[in-house]
Amino acid sequence: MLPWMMNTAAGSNSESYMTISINNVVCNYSLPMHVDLRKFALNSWNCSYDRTGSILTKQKRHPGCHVKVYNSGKVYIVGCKSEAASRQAARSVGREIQKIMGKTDQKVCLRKFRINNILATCKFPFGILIDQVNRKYPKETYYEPELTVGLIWRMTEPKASVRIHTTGTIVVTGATSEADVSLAVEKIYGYVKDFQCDISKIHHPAPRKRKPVINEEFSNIKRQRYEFGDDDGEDETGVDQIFDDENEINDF
Amino acid sequence: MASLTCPRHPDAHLVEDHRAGDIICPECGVVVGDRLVDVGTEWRSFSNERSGTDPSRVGAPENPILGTGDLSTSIMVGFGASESSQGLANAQRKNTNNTERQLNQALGIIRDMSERIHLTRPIQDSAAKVFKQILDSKALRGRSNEAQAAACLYFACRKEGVPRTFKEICAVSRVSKRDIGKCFKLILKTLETSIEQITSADFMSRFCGNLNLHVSVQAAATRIAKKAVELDLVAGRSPISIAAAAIYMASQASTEKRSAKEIGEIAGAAEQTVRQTYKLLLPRVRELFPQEFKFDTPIEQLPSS
Repeated sequence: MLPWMMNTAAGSNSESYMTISINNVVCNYSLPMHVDLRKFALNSWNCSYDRTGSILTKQKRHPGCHVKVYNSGKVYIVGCKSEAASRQAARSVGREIQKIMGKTDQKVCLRKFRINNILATCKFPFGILIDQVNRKYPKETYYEPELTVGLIWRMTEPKASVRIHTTGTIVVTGATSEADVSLAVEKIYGYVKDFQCDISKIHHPAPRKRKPVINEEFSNIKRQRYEFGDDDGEDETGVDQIFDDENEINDF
Repeated sequence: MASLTCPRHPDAHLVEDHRAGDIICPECGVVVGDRLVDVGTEWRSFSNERSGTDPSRVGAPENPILGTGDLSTSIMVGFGASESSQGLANAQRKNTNNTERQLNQALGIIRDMSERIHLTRPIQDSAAKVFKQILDSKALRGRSNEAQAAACLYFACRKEGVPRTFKEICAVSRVSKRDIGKCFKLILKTLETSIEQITSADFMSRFCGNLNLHVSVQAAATRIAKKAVELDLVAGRSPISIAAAAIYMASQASTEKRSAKEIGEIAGAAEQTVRQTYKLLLPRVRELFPQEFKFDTPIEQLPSS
């Protein structure tokens, strides 16, 4: 999460944080060796090896991501929440492959580690009049209200594609580094702050469906389970089995 | 070549007599030029006549879109023709250029679609021109002909200032809205043009006409939509939904009431969307209606959803 301080609209002096949250980092690299996928599948956990596709897919818990390994040594990692986590996952997978292939004595480097894509979202505290933005910048933007809800701004410098919505949500895709992401958001802010509008006019949350009332303690435990980086040991309890079916809650 | 003049009245404007093929001076009646070649059609053929031979010795007029100077002959084979003529047609089909064939096919598709939604000839020609351009640029390779043709038609309508919604084009074509949208995006990129955004006013006359609404209702709906956009009540809504909601409001206040479902069907918007957008317009309803509007149902009794 990159905290980013800035002043809110209407010249008020109160500062509000606009956090850019990075949702997905996609990276790939290649190892300078042939990987025996079958051996890897038999010796590692939480993976599936599809012989027809000749790809091994693995799901890592910590940091949470999906990994695809090819027998040429190429590895693709999808789903990390930050560049550093992505790098860490890459190294841990590399280490695992090294151990399983028995090359522990040799030095194995990650060749051509490259971050392909970073997806990040940010919410501006004001609404945006995207049809006017489209009129002002027809070359860089694309807005078709019948086709997409948001306006798409293709930036060349830094290379990214930004989706801007009327509610003020900004989605940056295609960036190659976190610095690029924040640069892109800053640039967009510069263009878009002239087209602000009152967010209460736009945001009409749909009436929420009433969910059945569950015991608060249990629901808290269930939510905790999915937070990575906290306590890894807790997910092996049988707690999840009880709460798969909300109707079957007994009085524990 | 010196123009013909009557020897006695050089300033007289000469009259042409088609039946005799003469040029006559109206002042004195002297025949100044004769044996004029009639450049009209030699024979006329009617579609209801089923005569065996068509004596016309010329073909269709030259089509500038298909390429000038293309004086080649194309073999048309009717149903149940002899084997030799079918062989001839096949041979020609093998030899034709792929682009020519695609262009002809696409032209047929565009004419077909345009006839169904009653688009005028200039729009069809514009669409054909666009198609030729993207065919030459090879940018939309791999997309089906129908998708390309439909996207060209949509682009031509937009460019001429009479946009049709994607759903309307979808209705006369067998391509999905998604494919047309993708092709349209590629066309914009290839031609590097930007076109005007759609506004609610573009669709008012068509939607109101299809719903058989009176002109006053249409005018009121147009004004409601315009005012709503100015007052920023409907930020973030598609212009189609705004138009539909404005028509709903105007029709509910007049003698000719239409339900949200009917309007949604004509406009291509979901009934729920029409109702939701209508709810956004309700708070400032007094400012939206024009001054001279005759209310059949007063504002207080307008439906709340």
